[in-house]
Amino acid sequence: MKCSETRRILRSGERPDERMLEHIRECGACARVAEREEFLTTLLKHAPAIDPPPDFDRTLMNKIESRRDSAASRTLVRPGILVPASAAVLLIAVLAIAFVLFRGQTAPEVAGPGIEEAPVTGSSETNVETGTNSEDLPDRNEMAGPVEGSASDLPAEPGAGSDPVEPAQDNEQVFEGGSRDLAAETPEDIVPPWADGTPRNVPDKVPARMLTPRELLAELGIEAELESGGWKVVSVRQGSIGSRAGVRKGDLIKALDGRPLTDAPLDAGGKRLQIVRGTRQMTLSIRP
Amino acid sequence: MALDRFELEQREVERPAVSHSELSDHDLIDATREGDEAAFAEIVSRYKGQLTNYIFRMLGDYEESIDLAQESFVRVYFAIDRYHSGYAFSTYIYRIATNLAISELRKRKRRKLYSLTGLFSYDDESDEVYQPPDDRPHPEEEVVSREMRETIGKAIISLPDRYKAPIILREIEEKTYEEIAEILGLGLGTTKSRISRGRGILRQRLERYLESDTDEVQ
Repeated sequence: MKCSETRRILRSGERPDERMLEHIRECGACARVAEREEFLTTLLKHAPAIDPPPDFDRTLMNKIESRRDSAASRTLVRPGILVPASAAVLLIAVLAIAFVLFRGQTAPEVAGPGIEEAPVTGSSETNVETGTNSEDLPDRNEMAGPVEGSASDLPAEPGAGSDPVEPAQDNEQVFEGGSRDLAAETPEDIVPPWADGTPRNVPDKVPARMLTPRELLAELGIEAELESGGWKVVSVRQGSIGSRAGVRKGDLIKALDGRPLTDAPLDAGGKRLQIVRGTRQMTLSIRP
Repeated sequence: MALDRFELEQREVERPAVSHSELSDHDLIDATREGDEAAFAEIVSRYKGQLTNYIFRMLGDYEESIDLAQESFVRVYFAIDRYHSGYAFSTYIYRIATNLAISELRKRKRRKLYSLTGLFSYDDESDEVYQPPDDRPHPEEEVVSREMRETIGKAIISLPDRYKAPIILREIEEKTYEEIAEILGLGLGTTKSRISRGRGILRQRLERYLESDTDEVQ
């Protein structure tokens, strides 16, 4: 074995094998190198040492306990879950607010069809959609129950005595013979409910077309003659619309929904007749 | 049949109690997996001394060494289900400790890099303050003086990082080349080469002790 190879192996820190030991015994220079490398190894083994502190184990167990607790809390509330959960809560809140706002805006519209489909007293129209008689329709109104509060603000429904959407209180009074000062009411105060785009509740029997007052009154079953300030009722046909509205012979019909009845043609649509009976001014509701 | 099972359970319960100190590392790991805290305490007892010293010789910082040694055990504890007995437990825990120590050394280098004080007062010799708190008289005090021990410590700590762990593992912890290669994740040739180069550096730094020794020998 060559000296160079022996010294290279000795300096690398490798332990000499039997063949190397034999060479070292024979070679004084390599023996000194071996001794020197051995002493270096001995020196390194005497690098300073420390003893772990007495509370090493206790501190370690505290760390483990602490880490275990934090791991448990992470399991309960994982960041990966926290973010989607917050997003879901936020989304639900936004949807709830949007629903409330949407409901507030659309409540009258929702109530509208329910009112239109409300039963009309005396009517025997058959509901095409359900095949049931219109008297069954209160059930449909119950479907609009959640918006009842809004529906109560809608215009009066003629003839819908038991309907949740009752006619306006003033109309009730008029129907029962109450009187109002016609002079105090301007045409703008007595706007027909469908004139502003609200659902039309007047039955088809009252034609929405241009008629002369005579023709209009004739359709209501009223025969009248034009006098100064209005149409004097000559007769009222039994069971007619005019009769149900409470028009009597001798009444002076002055206006329809605030529109003065002269000889000129007018839109036949209307709900209220302003009349003078004797000395009293009255408004009668037309109930087809 | 039920009686047989009962007797079997009885035998299991009455199994002669083996002291934890007699169990192998792998048996202690298995026991720890089953919830035996005393088994884990035995593992800690076996390795805390050498692990703390290993890290201390890498860093030269007593408090940090204790902390990182404990952190090594914490990591073993929480990853105990993932540990497999394919290789020695000592290799496993030394690898964890080595990674923690190297990570700490890198942090210190970054701190030094960004520290103005570090930039202007860097001194290879004075940078590492080596103050071992062990004041007990060493049995070989007469052979290796305290001053010599401190010099040895400084020489090791001042080694480049890539040589430090291989030298400590080989010359102080007396691991085999194969174990060192496994702990450090290096090839066998690279491991030997690093040890050889590290020894070369130490030989130069400890020259005066080696010369005197050589003189004495001669």
